[in-house]
Amino acid sequence: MDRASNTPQATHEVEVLPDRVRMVLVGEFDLANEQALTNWLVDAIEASPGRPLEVDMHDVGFIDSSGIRVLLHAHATAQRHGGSFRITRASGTVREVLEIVAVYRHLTGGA
Amino acid sequence: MSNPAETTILVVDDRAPKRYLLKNWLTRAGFAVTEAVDGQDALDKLQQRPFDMVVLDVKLPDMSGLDVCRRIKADPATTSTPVVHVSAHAVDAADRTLGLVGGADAYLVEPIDPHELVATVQAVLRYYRARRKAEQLADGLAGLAATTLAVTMARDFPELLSRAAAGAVRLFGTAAAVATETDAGWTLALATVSGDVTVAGWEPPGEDVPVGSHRLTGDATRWQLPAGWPDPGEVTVTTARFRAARPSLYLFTGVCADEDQTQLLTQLTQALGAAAEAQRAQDQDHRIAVTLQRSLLPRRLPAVPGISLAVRYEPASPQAEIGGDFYELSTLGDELLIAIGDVVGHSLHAATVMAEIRHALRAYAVEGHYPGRIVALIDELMVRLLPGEMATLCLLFLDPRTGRARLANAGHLPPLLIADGRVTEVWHRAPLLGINHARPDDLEFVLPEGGTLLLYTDGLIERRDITIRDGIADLSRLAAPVDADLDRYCDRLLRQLTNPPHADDVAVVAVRRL
Repeated sequence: MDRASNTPQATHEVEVLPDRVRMVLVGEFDLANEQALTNWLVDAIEASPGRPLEVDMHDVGFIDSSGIRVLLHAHATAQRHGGSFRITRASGTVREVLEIVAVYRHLTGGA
Repeated sequence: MSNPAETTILVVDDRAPKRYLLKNWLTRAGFAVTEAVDGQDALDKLQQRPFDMVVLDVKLPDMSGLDVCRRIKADPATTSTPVVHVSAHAVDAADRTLGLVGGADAYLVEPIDPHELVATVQAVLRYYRARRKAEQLADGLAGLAATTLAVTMARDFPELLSRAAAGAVRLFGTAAAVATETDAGWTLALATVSGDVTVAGWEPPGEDVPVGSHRLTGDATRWQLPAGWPDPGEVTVTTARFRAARPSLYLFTGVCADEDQTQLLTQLTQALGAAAEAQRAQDQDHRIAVTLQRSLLPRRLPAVPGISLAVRYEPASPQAEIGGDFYELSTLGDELLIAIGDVVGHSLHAATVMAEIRHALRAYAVEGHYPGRIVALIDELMVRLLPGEMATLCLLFLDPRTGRARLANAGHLPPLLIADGRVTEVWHRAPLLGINHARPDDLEFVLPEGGTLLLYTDGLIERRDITIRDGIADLSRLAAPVDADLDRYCDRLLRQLTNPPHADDVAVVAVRRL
């Protein structure tokens, strides 16, 4: 009914491992939470600069172009900090849309 | 304000002579008195209607007056009804304390002096009136805050006016109407006490509304309130107008004479006026953005022998933000340039990025580059000059005489080729613009005579409840056969696949080789 109820539910969890940082994303990502996703990823990169960041997308049900842009920015930011960024376990619609805009290999570390 | 004739007191005592005396004294002091003969009778009468006070004997035949008092104070409906105990017995301080701890507001012991009784009743009432007034004020302010928030969160004028009228009903307890000038003309929302809200066009009175906040009372007929207005008699009209050049806002309620209520009326009307101004500004922003975006798209379609063309651009609804979809159709020598794209983001800024990409595309095309090279050049341009921006683009050159086409895609949805009733998705996978990645060679194919190419943006197929693959499949199913009239074809696809109001903007380009 109001704008707030249109905001998709999304959460994240961060686990700092000896050799990498693992973030699990859950929910739907679009324009409404673009800023939140940006903050989560940038915070994780800046908290452990140089350490590879791995983002588990298994429980992400939807991502739109705004969300993809954030992932691409995070990829560039991680590289600037001397680290790396890759997504894992993207499936269904999320993998499909990443393949249509042809950034799937790029984001999974394949290119 | 505190007319004692309106003050009702319930006198509870099982002894008739005592009731008679109490009633007599209180009636002479100007109070309206109702009698109850025991505890149950008192509780029943309190259920039936509110009283301003209960004068309660401590010793009743069916239950203790202390229990009756506790039950009155425990019931939310009667908890703020004051209770004065009267006791026939010689009581000590401990008994009086028990009564007061049980919730009573005063404790009188016989023999009762009539003057002391009346003075005590008046003192307790004075305290309760002040307390009720403070509670009403607090309720009013809370209601004002809730209504202001609801109105501020409204997405459009009908919703804003409806919430405003419904909020005014809750605040003032009378029917209420709120009217102002919107992009659809003067609009009035009427809310009745039973909760029905109707929104309709309205003709404001010819008279000029002064700048500032004003309130007046007059006959309802003077303002031509709609037929649903319940009482044709007097109404209180409060207006807010911030500048002479701005439309005013009207709030109609039943007559409000109470001073606190009129202050609340003024505050509410000012808050509603501010919310209406904000809504107006938002509507205007959206109108400007849509006008700008349309002005950035091609104004005319080129006339190409042997080719028929149709395009559609549907902006996102006013509640959504502006989109970044674009298309391009122009002739380059003997060839037709066809492009469709989508800038990531929904803002006026996205629309300006779209314009830059479209102009760069035309400039590189005029220089004579082939599609893949143009896409790569735009990609590089974006990385250098528009860092952080991203866009998808599908670009192709078509030779109308031979049907030979050369296509480069950058992350955009595949065009559909419809020929002989068959639909083919024309896939050419390459990354979207803005990350400067390596690109594959152009895709070459032939658009046969009578064949149609359909290009579109994700607004046509993207829904959260289906995958993109299913969205493309739905479109493919509807895309063949192609209507004889391409304009009708585009309209039909939009009608069948989208459901206004659009959350996202939609662009569709159809090209048929005759």
